[in-house]
Formats: sequence, structure tokens, C-alpha cells
Amino acid sequence: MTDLRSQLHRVADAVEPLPVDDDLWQRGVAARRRGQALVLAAVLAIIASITWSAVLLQTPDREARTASTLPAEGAIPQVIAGVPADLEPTSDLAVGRASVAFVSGQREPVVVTASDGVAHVLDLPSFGPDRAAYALSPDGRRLAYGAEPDGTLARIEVVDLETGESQVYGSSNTGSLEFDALAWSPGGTWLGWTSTAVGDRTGIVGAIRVGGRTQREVFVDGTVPQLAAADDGSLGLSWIGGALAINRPGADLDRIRPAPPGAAGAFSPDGRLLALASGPGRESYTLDVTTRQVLRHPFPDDTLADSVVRPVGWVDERLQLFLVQPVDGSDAELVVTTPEVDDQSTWRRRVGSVAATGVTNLSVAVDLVPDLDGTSSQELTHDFGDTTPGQRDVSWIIGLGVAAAIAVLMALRWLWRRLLG
Amino acid sequence: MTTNDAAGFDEFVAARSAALSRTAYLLTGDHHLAQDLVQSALLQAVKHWRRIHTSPEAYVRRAMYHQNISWWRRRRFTETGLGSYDDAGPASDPDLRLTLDQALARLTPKQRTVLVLRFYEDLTEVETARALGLSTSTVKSTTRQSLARLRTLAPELAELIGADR
Repeated sequence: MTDLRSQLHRVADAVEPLPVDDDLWQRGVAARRRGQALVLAAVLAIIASITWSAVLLQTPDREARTASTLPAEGAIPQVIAGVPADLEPTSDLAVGRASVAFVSGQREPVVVTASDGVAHVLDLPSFGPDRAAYALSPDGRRLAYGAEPDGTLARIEVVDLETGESQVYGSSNTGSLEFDALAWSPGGTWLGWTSTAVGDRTGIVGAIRVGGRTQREVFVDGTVPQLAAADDGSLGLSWIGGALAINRPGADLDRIRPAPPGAAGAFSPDGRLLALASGPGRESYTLDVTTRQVLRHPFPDDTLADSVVRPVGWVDERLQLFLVQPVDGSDAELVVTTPEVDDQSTWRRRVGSVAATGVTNLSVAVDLVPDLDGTSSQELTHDFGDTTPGQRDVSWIIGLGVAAAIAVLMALRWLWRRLLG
Repeated sequence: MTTNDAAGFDEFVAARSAALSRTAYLLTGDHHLAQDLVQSALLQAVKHWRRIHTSPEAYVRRAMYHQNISWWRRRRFTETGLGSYDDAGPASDPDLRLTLDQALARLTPKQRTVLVLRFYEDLTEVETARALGLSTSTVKSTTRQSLARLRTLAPELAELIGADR
């Protein structure tokens, strides 16, 4: 074997020294830096992926995860739509603060929770068969509805959505009383109700001081299908024929003449103004209760066609929230505006949209509308995305996971080569 | 990396490139491949220069061994099949050096590398196994197979190689 060894040395010794590139050191340093940059990028990608994934897993839905602007108290959903027919009702009424309440196309009572935009069908005990008396308080914490238990008198129940506890308010009248509409005062202190005339029974309207013992009832001639409540306990009443009257505690009905061009909709927080439901038309109306003057705010040119306008509430003493339903049957939209046009007036459409079908008796927690910052880009409602149960989009999570796995494998490969190298 | 590092590297290359060239040629049997092999191993050494605390030469040689086998693995599916390695080479060449050269060229890089490490670098079986990341028994069997193949390919080398062992 010594000969083989010597022959190998002979072969090797005949080899001239091979040339080595002069820039080998520079190339090696450059390659090393590229490698370090790649490793750094991979590490950052892994850290970002892990951090992002952790955030994602702790957030209930995709849009909420990306929504840095969602206030802590929650928000009104940008899109208010009906719920699936098979959505299971919940008997646990402590669903949390709500942003929206409505009666679904299946005549089920629905609330949308403010924190996540998820719709809940409520299993409300003895909810009245006509399902008309149903209203969410302006702060979204309480839900009032007309209950008609079998064999007992009709009553109003006020559910605390944060505790699930209910308070019951009855009428001193007996007989076939049915609650047809409910209206919260802006501060949530008073709850107005109306019961239209049935047969030879006259109509009745009432006001309840929520949480207290005070309540009053007023017999009215004819039918009062719409009303509004103020924080001093006053009621704004509208008759089918178009007449409108103010009923203040301890005072007679104060009829507004001539009849304004709309029905009682919502009192302003100070009770001085009463937004009116009107239409079809291209303007909104507000009654100055003190001066009896009707204020009008036309839709800006080239915005909305003829629409039915319904007050939803007041954002503050100046700003009103209207639900504007075009008569062509397209989806309604929420509009924030002021009672009239002046140098500080506002008219902002597309604050939110409401499906043309599947949403009736809508009431909105207007307290969740943020203070306007004066910019047109400010979101007054929130896009919660697809909040339908069972429809969560996980494809992008899977994609991110695969990307993270690849990054981890690359890092491990690099580490392996580095250790062996 | 500092100027001192670069100077140290240049010094190392100047001192050892001839020795590295010889080993690279024995490993590849081709001057161009040998040059590529040396440069590739040196480039790898530059990348890790600061972490090479013991012998840069040992690092570079080890890189050459692995790189050579790695290249062969990548090339073998597009180049000559293993069957040709068993064919006997031309025995008419009067120059023994050329005959050994040609016979080596017909070994697989793994076999050639093991032989070079064992009989040119004078590594023990254990050291060869450690350098190539193989088991000692693999080194033994590969050595035995390599020598047998050399005898088959170039019968006139039998005297140099000795009996089968």
C-alpha cells in the first residue's frame, strides 16, 4: 500500500498550484452579509407571523382583528342585515351591550352586540304576537318589549342586556290592551308607549320612568301609532291623520297647529327639538317645540332620491341620526345631519346601511356614534365583516401558518448548515 | 470582518493553496473542477472565518471533501452511469502515473475521496470517518471496494495496490 501512497503523491506533486481569485475575500464577505440579511429577514418574518397569529387567535373575527378603530365600548355595525332563519335563539339574555335591535324576517327579536357585531336571536318570554313594541335604549344596555303572557295582563318588560335581569311594568288599565310602539327618551330615563284604539276602546298612551315608580297614562281619541319620549317625561304623539301633540307631565295635550309635515320621531336630549318622520321626499324635518317652527334640511343635490325618512335618535344636541329608505326599494342608509342648513350644518350619508328586507322595528344605540371630528373619513359605524356563525374565514390563517412553517424550516436549515459548517 | 482578517486569509491562501490544489486534483481528477473546488471551499471559509478557531486548513479540506461528494450527487444523474465504473480501462498506457490517474477517474467520488484521505492525507479510518461524516465500518468497506475496483479497472496496478484486504 506504500506504493499506492507514493504514486498518489507523485500524481499530486505534478499538479501546479491552482489560481485563486483575488476578490475571493470580498465575495465571501458579501455572501456572508447577504446570508445575515436573509437570516434577519427570516427571523423578523417568524416573529411577525407569531405575533400576528397570537393577536388573530385572541380576536373573534377577521374584521375585528384588523379594526384598530373599534372603540372599547363597541360600535354600530356598518351593515345591518337580517339573520339566518336557522339561527338558534338564546334564552340567556345577558348578551352584553347592544348596538342595534330589530325584528327579523322570521319575526324573531334580534340584537347585535356592540363589541363584536354578532347578531343574537333572543328567546324573549311572552314577546307580543304582533312584535311591534320593541326598542333598544340609546345607550344599548337595555331592551324594552311588549309582553303578553297567556292568561295575564299585557306588560312591558325592560331587559338589562348586561345582567339578563328584567324589570316588569304594567298598565293600570285592564282589558285587551296591546302595546303597539315603544319609545325611549334620549337619556334612557323615560319609556313611552302607545296602545291604539281597539273597537270601542279609546287609545292609550303612557310614559314610564324606567327604574322608578312614576308612570302616567293618557286616554286619547283615535289612533296614535307613533310617539317620542323626552327626558323630562314629555311625549310627542302623532295621529294617523297627521295631527301632532305634545303631552307634558301634569299638563293637557298641546296640539301643534298647523300639523307639521311629519310624525313624532325622536326628541333631542334637551327636549327642545323633535325630529319628525316624513316622506316620501328629499328633506328631513324637525319641529322646534318651543317656537312651533318646522326646520327643514333638504338632501344635497344629486344624493338621495325620494325617500321615507325616520328619526333614529340624536347623537348630541345638534346632530340627528335618520334612517333614510329610498322608495325604489333599495337598501336604507343611515344619515347624520342637522335640523337645518346653516354655516355649521352637516349632512353625511352612508354612515351605515340597512337591508331593505329582514329588518323591521329597527332601533339603534345612538350613544355609540362617536363625536364627529370634522373629517369626512371618520368612521361613525364599524365594519365587523362576516359575523355569521360558522362562516369564519380561516383560509388566510392557513396561508399564514404555511408561510410561517416555511420560514421556520428555512431558519432550521440555515442553523443546521451553520452548525455543521 | 476586519483588515486583519483579510490579511490573515490572504496569508493562509498564499501558504496553503498549493497543498490544497494537490488534494483537490486528486479528489476530482480534473484541473478545472479542482480549481472550482478549492475556490468554493475557500469561499465557505471566508464566510465563517471568524468562527474558525482551530485550523483553517482542516476546515477548508473538510469543506472540499463534502463539496466534492455533493457536486457528484448533483451531477451523477446527468452524466456517466455507475455501470461504466466497472469497465476495465485501457491497459496499453505505458505511463503508470497516467494509468493510476485514469483508474481513479473511474471510481465514484465517494470511493476516490476515501482513498485520497486514507492513502494521500494519511488519515486513519476513524479520522476519515469523522471527516466525511461516515461510520468507520463504511469507510472500511468503501476502502475495500475502492481497491478492488482499482484492481479490476487497471490490472497492472495490482502490484501497487497489493492483495485484496
